[in-house]
Amino acid sequence: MATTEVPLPALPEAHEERAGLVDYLITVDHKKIGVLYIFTAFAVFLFGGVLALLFRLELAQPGMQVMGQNTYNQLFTIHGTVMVLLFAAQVSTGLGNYLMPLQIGAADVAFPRLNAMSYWLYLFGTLVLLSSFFVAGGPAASGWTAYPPLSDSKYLQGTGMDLWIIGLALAGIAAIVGAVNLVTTIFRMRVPGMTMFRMPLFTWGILVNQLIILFAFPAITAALAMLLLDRNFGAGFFDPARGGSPVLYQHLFWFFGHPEVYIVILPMFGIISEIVPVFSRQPIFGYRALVFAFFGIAALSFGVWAHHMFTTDAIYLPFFSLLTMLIAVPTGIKIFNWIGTMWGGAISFTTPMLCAIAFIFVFLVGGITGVFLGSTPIDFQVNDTYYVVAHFHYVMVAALLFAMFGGFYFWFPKMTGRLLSERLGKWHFWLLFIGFNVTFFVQFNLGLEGMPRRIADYPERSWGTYNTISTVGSFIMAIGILVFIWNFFVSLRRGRPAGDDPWEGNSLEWVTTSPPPHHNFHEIPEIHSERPAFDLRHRPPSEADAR
Amino acid sequence: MTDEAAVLLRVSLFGFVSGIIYWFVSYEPLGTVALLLLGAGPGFAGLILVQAHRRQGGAAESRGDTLRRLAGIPPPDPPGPEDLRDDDLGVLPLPTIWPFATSLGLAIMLTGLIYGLWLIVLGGGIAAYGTWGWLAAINRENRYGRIQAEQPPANPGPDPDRADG
Repeated sequence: MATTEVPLPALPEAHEERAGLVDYLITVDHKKIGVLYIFTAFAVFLFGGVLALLFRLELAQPGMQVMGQNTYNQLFTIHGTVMVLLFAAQVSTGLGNYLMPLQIGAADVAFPRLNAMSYWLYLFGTLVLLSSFFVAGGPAASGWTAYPPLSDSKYLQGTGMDLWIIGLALAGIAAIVGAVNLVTTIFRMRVPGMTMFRMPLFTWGILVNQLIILFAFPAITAALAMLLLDRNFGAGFFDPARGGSPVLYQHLFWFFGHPEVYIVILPMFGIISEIVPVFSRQPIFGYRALVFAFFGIAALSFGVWAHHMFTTDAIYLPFFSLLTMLIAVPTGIKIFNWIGTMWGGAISFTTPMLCAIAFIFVFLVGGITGVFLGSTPIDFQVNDTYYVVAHFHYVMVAALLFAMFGGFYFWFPKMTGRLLSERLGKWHFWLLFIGFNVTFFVQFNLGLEGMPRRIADYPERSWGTYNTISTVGSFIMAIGILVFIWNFFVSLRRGRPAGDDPWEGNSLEWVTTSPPPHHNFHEIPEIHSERPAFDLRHRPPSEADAR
Repeated sequence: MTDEAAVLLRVSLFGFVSGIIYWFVSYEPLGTVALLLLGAGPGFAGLILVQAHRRQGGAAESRGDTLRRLAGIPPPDPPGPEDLRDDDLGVLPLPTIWPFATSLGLAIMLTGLIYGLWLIVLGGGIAAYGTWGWLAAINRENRYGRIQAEQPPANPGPDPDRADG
């Protein structure tokens, strides 16, 4: 018998469930690993949020002293680091882990054990970084970008900065390993009939997001290794006195750092592209245009890294200015297509749909202010002011949060078999929407009036009112997040049963049970379009009877 | 050419073209190298996929179709399969502690770069043990699979060719 031809049978104990935490410790099931990613990332988000509330208190009034200057530096450094690198970049990996194999009809990912290893490396990286709170001197205080010389051993002593480097290096390795796994899964494990151009747009978002991770994360991992060598082993990569250059670090950091924005946001585009057609009762408008917009944005994201370095006088400004403005084209296509999908549709304003509409609004504000920053004269004027802080919080935070929460409300029934409460969901949505805009819209004014970022205190009284408003807004947001947490726990125990397809969804995950079985599908329908679940519901009656 | 290879080759093309343009407008070496590497890495992976597709006897494509696919205009999607009952949906691996152990070892080993050699040795040992356990677990699952495949079915039923019944 040719043994290689025979598919391996599952071992007898393969589907034995173990109790509680042990099950999660040894699991290689993509759904459980996805849940682990989502919970860890959300815990990191809560931690980063608490840090933000603390330094918003410090900034609430001029002269207010909640913490010392160095503590302030440490808190905004760790806030930025954990929010951008350990929450925003990872929560989409969690959602992708859970949903993407379901959407392409696979029983699991291509490398399940490697998938588990990727999660554990991410968790250990996070713990190593956060352990810096317990060492002498405390955590890193260089800002989340860790530019030398602010981050070198002459100006920042103690092991806090080194733990920051090691923690991020581990998370970077985890991301690369995870990307190899997810890209291979999408390329090689689609169910027969699921061609690339029949994949759901969320899966496209995950594919492009993971491709960017594959090409961008090696740059930051290299930069971190060089920084560690500079600090601990006498190298001089970034030290001009020894022939190095701090600008080299900035190039490497931003070659990763700008694509990172799209690592965060492209899966969110995918989520919005799933939610909008379902709650507009229309097919997505311009499916292929949306796919190519994904690639257009991803490609351009690798050509704009130095727009973060306009004021270094070490780059060719017109090249980066032009490409930065060009990004608005594929992004505009997406917004046009989402509005086109809603146009004439029977829109139902459920919480996921409200989140999707809010996403379009805040991303538009963030995108337009980004085009202003792409213009070098304006960038020179507002560089390193609160205008930049407001801009990237609209792009990175608001857009991410509304899409992420929209995704949670949309797929929570699939993951748990229960619906989140709509009433609490609406409270959560409005508190978050109002709180966010109160917090960050005034920061555009602060920036235009010249308030620099990364200062613990400020003398001018005219900035005080804006800062007070901003701090009040941040606490409104926090109340909104608490409402969501309450909703989560209440609905998990007493939520309304959802059934397999509560929203009448389009993609393949809505065909299986809620929650899905260990092997994902008992049966898979034939795939004839990018909306297999819709096709299944609306197939001709004669065909349905024949089955 | 498959759509997967076309995706990678498109990224590669962007890397090479933008790298060349960037060099001539800026003469800045680091960004140029980064963009050219962005061209080289996916290009290499894309060519491997093209070659693998050919080796597996994939349908040959005219040059025009290849160029159209690269430009993002693939031929119309084929119809879906008629019956999925015979398709193997894969075998799921067993739960295992080894990815956790290997990751823990790697984390300790890297932290040793700050705190000293003893942590590197300890972490390296745990990572090596974890890797060994990982490979042994895969080997065990594969061996079990082979044994199952080589065994006759538990209840083969009557053989119609046997005269003595």
